[in-house]
Amino acid sequence: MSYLKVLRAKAGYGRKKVIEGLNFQAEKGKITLVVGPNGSGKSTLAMIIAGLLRLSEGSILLNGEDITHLVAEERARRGISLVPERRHLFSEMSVKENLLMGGIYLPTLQVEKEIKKVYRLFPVLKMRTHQIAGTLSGGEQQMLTIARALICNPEVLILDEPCRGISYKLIEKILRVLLYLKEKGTTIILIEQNAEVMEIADYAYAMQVGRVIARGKPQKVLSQKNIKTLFFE
Amino acid sequence: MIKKGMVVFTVIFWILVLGSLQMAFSQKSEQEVVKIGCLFALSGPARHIGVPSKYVALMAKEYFEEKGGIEGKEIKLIFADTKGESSVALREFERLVNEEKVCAIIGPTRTGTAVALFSKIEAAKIPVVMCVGGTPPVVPTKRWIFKTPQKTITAVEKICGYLKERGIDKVAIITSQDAFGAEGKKDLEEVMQKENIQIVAKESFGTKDIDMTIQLRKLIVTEAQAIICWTIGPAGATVAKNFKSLGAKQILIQCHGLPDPEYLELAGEAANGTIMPSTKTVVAQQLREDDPQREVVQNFVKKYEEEYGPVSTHSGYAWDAFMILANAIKKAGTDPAKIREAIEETKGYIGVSGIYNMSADDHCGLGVDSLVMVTVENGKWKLIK
Amino acid sequence: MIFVDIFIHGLGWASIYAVIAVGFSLIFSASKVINLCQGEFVILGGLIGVALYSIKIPLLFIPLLSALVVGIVGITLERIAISPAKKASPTALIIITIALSIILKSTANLIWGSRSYKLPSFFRKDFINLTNITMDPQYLLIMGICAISIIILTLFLRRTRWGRSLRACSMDPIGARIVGVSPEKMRSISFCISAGLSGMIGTLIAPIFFINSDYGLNLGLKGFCAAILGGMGNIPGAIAGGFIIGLSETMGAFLFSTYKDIVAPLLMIIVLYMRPRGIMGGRD
Repeated sequence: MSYLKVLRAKAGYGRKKVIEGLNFQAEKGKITLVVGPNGSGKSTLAMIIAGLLRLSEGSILLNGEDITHLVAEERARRGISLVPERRHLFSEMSVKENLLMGGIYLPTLQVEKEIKKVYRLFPVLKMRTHQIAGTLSGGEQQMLTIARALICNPEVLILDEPCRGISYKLIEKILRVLLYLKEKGTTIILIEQNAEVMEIADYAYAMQVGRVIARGKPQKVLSQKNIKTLFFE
Repeated sequence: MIKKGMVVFTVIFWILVLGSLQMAFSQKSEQEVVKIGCLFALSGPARHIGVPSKYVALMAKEYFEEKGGIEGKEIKLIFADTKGESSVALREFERLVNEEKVCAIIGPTRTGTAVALFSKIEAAKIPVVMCVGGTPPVVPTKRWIFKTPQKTITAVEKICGYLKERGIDKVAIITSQDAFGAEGKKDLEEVMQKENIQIVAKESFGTKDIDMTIQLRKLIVTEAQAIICWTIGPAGATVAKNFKSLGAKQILIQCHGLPDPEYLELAGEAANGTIMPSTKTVVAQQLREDDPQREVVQNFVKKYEEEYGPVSTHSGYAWDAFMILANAIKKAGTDPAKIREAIEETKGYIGVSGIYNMSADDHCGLGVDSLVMVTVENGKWKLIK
Repeated sequence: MIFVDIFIHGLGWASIYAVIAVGFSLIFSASKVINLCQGEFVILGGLIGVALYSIKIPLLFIPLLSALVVGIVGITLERIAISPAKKASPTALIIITIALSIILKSTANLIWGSRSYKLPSFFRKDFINLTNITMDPQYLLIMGICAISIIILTLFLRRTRWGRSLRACSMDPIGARIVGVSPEKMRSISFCISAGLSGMIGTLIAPIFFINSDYGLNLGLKGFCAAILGGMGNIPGAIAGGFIIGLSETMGAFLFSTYKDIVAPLLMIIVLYMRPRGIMGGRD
C-alpha cells in the first residue's frame, strides 16, 4: 500500500502553473526516484509534499489521511522531513545547534540520543560539533542538512538533489545512509538529475514540464527511448 | 412588541411636551436675557483647565445673581467647546456671535487658540475677556481684547523684587523651548538687566523632554545663587525633581504658572523648598488680615474646594473674567461697544486673582501686588513673609 | 567631576535606549517587521504600573507585572493586527504598526487623560552621594535591571528551545519551517518579549521622568535610531547603538542643550552613509 499519495495536484508560483494534474505515490520502506530535466517540476513536487507550496487543486494523503491543508511546520511534525536543494541551514549556528533545531519539538533526552546516532552515520560532523555551519565545506554542509532532517526520525524523507556538486566518495556515503534508512522502513523520495544514483531506487518517475511522462521499475523507465534522449544525449 | 411601541410613544410624547414648554419659556423671556458666550476647551488636551473654568464661570454667575445681578435681566451663559484647536475655536466663535448673538465672550483657554481669534474678534467688534496665560492678547493692546491672568512681565518683576530683597545678584535661567518659555526668557533678560541682576548662564529644554538633569548640572556649578525655571505643566515638576537629585545648594524659583496641585503631586518631596510667584488662591488661609483681597479670595476658595478639591493659581481667572464682564454689563447695558468701554474703565475691582485697574493702555490691569511669593513646605503651599 | 556625573547619567539613558532598541531588533529579526509602537509600549507599561500601584500592589512587583500585561497587549496586537495581514508588504506592515501606535496612544489618552503620572521612587532617598558624585539611585537601578534583562534575553536566545527557534527564524525562515518551527508563532513571541521589556522600562522611568501619553513617540524614535545604528536585527548592535545614542545625547545636552534632540537622528544618518547595514552589520 502506498504511504504517501499526491492526487491530481496543481501548483505554481503566482499565475504560472509549474505542476498540473500530477499523480504521484511513494511506498513505505521504498526509495522512490524522481528524475527529470531542469524546470520539469521536480523541486516543486518536493515543496508541495513538504508543504512549502500550497496546492491550488488536488490533494495529498499521508498514510490515508488528508494533509493537504497542513502548513509546512505541521507536516514536519507529522514526520515529513525535507532535505532542500538549497540546504537552508542556520548558517550562524553551530553544527550542534543545527541538529538541535532538527529535533525542536522532541524531548531533550531523545534529541541527544538521535544526535549521537547521526554522529555515528556522519563522524565528520561530530568533529565539527562546535563549528559554525556557515563555515563548513559544501560536502559537510550537505551532510549536516541530511543529518538535521534525520534527527526527528522521519516517516517520509524527501531529498532534493542531495548529490549535486559533491565528491563521488560522499555520494556513495549518502547512498549507504539511504539504504540504511530504507532498511528501517523510512519512505524515501529521492529527486535527482544524476543517473548514477538510480540503481538504489525501487521505483522511478520521470517528469517533464510538470507532468509524469513515465513510471515503473527504474531500469525500465530509464531505458525508454524518449527519456534517454532527455538525459543522456 | 406592544411594550416596545409604548416606550417609543411615551418618549416621543415627552419630547414634544418638553420641547413646546421650552419654546414657550424661551419666547416669554426673550427680552430679559443677556447672553454671554463662554469659549473653553471642554475636551482635548487642555480640558483639565477648560472644564474647571466652565464650573467657575457658573459659580461666579450664581454668586453675582445672589448679590442682586442686573436688574430686570437674566444672564445666560452659552458654552462652546474649542477642543483646544484653533479651527474649532474659530467656528465656535462665529456661531456664538452670529447665531447665539452674544454680547460678549469669556475665553478661550489656550494662548494658541486665542491668537488665532484676534483678527476675527477685532472684526466682529465683540468684547472678549480671555483667561489665557500668554501675553499676546494684551501686548500690544487690542481694542476689543482683555485678559484676567497676569502678564509675564508682572511675574518677572515680582521675582525680581524677591531676589533684591534677598540680596541675590547672580541667577541662572532654564526655559522651555515653546512660546511660553521664550516669552519668559525675553522678559527675564530685560528686567534683570534693568535691575542689575546678572544672568550667569542660560539653558533650555524641549517641551517633550523628560529629563533636564544635564542642563541643571551645568547651571549648578556656576556662581548663580538662584536658578529660575520658566515653563508650565509637568516639565516644571521634572526640573524640580532633577534639581533635587543633584543635591544642589542653590534655590530653585519656578514661574507663576506652576502653583497647581499637579505640581505638588508630581514633584512630591522635590517640590519642598521651591519658590514661585502665585495668585493668592493657593495660600488663602495665610493671607494677612489687612489684605484687601482676603475676603474675596477666601470665599472663592471655600466654594471652589467644596466642589472640585484643591485650588490652583489659575482657578480664579474665569471668575474674574465673568465678574468684570458682568459688572460692565450692569453699568453699560448690552451694547457691545458700551460694554467694551465699561470694561476698560474698570478701576479697583477686587477680584480673586488681584485688584484690577484697567485702562486704554493696559487691558490686563493687574500689578505686582496681585502676586505673592509662595514656597512649598511638607507638600503644602506656604506664603513667604 | 562634572564629566563623571554626565557620563553616569548618560549610561542610565544608554541602557534605556539599548533595551528599547533590542525590542526593535528582536521583532525585526524574527519577522522583518519594523514595529513603530515600541515607544507606546514603554508608556503603556508606565501607566499600567501607575494603575497597579494605585490598587496597592507592592512597588517591587510592579515592573514584572506591568511587563506581563504589556507583553499580553503586544501579543494581542500582533494576533489581531499584524497576523491577518499575510500578504502585506514590509512597508504596509510598518504603516500598520504606525496605526497601532496611534490607537494605543489615543486609548491611553482616553483612559488616563493627557496629564502626567508618576510612581514613587523605589528608594527612600532622592539622591545619593558617592565621593562627590550626586545622583538619583533610580539610575543605578535602571542600569542594573537593563543589564540583567539583556543577559536573561541572551541566555533565552542561546539556551532555550524558543530562543533558538527565534534565532533560526531570523537566519532562515524556510529552514525553520522545514524543521517544524512556525515563523508566525515566533513573531508573536517576539512581540510579546519586546512589548514586555518596553513595558518594564516604562515602570522604571516613571519615578524619575513621569509618564505622559505624549512621551511615547520620542522614546520610540530614539530606540529606533539606536536599532538602525547597530544594524536592524542585530541584538549586540542594538545594545551598542543604544549606548552610542544615550551617551552622545547627554553630551549633546551638555554642550548645546537646544539641539539635543537632533543628535540621535543625525548620528543615524551619518552612520547610514558610511555603513548602510549599521555599525555591527558588516560592509555591503
